[in-house]
Amino acid sequence: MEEMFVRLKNTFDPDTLSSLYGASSLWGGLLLGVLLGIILQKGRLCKYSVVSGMFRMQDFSFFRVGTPLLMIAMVLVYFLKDAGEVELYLPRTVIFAQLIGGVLFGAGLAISGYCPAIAAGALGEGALDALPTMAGMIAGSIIYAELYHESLFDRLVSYIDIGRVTFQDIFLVFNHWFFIMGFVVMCVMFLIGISMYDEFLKASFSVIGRASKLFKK
Amino acid sequence: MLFLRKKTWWPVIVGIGFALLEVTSFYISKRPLGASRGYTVIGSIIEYVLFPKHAAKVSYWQQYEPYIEWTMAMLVGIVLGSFISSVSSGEFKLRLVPEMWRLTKGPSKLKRWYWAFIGGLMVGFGARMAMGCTLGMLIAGVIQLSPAGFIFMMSLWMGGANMTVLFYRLKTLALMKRD
Repeated sequence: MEEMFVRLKNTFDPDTLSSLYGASSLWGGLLLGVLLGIILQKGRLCKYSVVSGMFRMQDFSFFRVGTPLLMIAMVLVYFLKDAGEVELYLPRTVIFAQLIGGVLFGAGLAISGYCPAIAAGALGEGALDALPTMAGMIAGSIIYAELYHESLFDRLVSYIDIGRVTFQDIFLVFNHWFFIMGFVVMCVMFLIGISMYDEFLKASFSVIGRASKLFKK
Repeated sequence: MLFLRKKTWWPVIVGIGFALLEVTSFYISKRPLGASRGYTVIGSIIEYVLFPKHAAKVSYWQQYEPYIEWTMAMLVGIVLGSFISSVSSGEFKLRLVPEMWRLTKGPSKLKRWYWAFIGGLMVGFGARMAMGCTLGMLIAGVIQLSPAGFIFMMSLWMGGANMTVLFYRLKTLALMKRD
């Protein structure tokens, strides 16, 4: 029993509390986490009904928050990268694993209604059914680690691995602002359409539907 | 703090705030926001504390070493921030079963908790397989123009929409046949 406490104490490294900056600093994570929690709660994002309503095409909060988020963050990050202030932190692209893993992730998201960050937000909001979801996520990652041990699964998962690349590397475009401009234009069109639908087109469609039913009778 | 007392903010303002937060994360911590790594490290710590000899053999824990780190502090921060926000707007309420689940699947608590665990299992497994969750892979991948984020976004939507129709037995397919 004492050995367990010693091992538990070993997992904590006091150097991580020393400063705010850096990828291993706990204070930076805590500060960003509090702000993220406030933003998730105020955007009505950490609710089962909103996540499930997105897949049922009834609630468009996720699209209306996500579209300005993606385009503004993309412009700012590339602007600061060109200015030399930040560096990119690219994820690895493994096409097969991301297709299969994404389908599994989406299926689980449709059933439980909480993705990893939203489960924590829902717990803070008082939805206690986020607790079994969090336990399930921990159990799922332990199962993955045990399976990864075997070499066949390892080879299967890293099937088409093209490394840490971006679109401008793949298509050999000399200027990334072409991609960003196209993405921003598409995002603005989508945002205007989805906001109009949510604000007043939905009401007018239902009025038209009721009126046409009356005429049929 | 008037803006904290409001129940909701306009979605575009929330999106802009989220984007500024993402850029701040790039600036302060030299990495994008991410959450699913924290759950993996918790799993690693559990295995290291309970069975240290077995955990040393698992090759996956070489990438996720059992040390308390940034994403775990972030998870604690999300719980705190959401609690502060919901208390100040008077929305905090302990509840066991969500309202929409009650409408479609019945009021049984055990059933909801069982399916929440199964869904969490799939989310955790899928997140490890795709090497990130919605924060660390979808948002961070898309804003850096990485193909990984776009592939993950499309496959998440495919899996989620199809599973919703299958699991909740929505009438969408039946309606399409009738028309």
